[in-house]
Amino acid sequence: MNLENTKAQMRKGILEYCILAMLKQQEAYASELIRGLKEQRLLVVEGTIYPLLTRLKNDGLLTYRWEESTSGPPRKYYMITPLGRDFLGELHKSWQELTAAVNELTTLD
Amino acid sequence: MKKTMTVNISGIVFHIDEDAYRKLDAYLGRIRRYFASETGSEEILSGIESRIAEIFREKKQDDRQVVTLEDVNEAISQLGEPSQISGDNDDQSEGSRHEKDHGFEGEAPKRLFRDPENKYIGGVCGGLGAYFQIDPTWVRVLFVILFFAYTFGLVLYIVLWIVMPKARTISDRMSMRGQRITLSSIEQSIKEDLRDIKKNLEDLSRGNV
Repeated sequence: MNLENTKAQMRKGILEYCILAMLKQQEAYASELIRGLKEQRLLVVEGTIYPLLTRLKNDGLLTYRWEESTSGPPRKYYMITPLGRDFLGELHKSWQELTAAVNELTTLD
Repeated sequence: MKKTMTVNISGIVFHIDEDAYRKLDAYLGRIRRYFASETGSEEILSGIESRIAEIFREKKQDDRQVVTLEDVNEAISQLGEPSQISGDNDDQSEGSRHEKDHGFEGEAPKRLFRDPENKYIGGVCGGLGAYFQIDPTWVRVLFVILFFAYTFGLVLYIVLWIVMPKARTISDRMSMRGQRITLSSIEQSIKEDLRDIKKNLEDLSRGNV
């Protein structure tokens, strides 16, 4: 059993959940998501977000539009799709159940 | 004094030191190879490139400033190596990835050629043998079986004969065997050729005697 690996897997799943939740509030480009996730110490290396965004987009949960930027390269603004909203709702439900269950079990001693 | 280059990262022009460029290019190469099998790998790469452009841009407000090796190292540690990015931290996959990477550096990409030095008909079997690193005899046996079992075998052989280029030069022959083309490997190859010629001449003179 490798603790680091388990933590990484958990973080990846939680990251997808958080990205969808952030985009439900408002659309954002990758660097804004990175900033938000880093503030909460959810992101170890920034690169992690790119494969996740691509996967979520390929699954139809996200979509994006291009916007020019005056200070750097053009930005890809991501937004959540109706399918993504449904998915987020399901994730939210299972997250609640999971944390309730884990809290119940880990406070037993 | 240092040589600098001009690069375009996500549509933004940067001046970059030569050593910094090499480091960055190698890093992007590792990312590309790691995610090559995922759908949307180009998107992942362009996202990361665009982030690198942003990081450099934040640091180098002045267009005349040069991106240094230190800047590249910082950006790489910020974005992470492929294994950190994918969160593949378990030792086994780390090891196998590493081995794969290593093999990549040590061996040149192989190409399929007909081997004119190892042929009965067109050198197709010799070339296939060199490509798959198996004894060409087995390839020949397989083809002979195919010849007799199906006409398909004959057609396949002729098609391969047409599409596989003949290894004409030393560098062709090396990439046929997947050897990296360096000065010393060429030297080695020439030496081997000379040895063969010498042996042939000796055989010939012995035959005459």
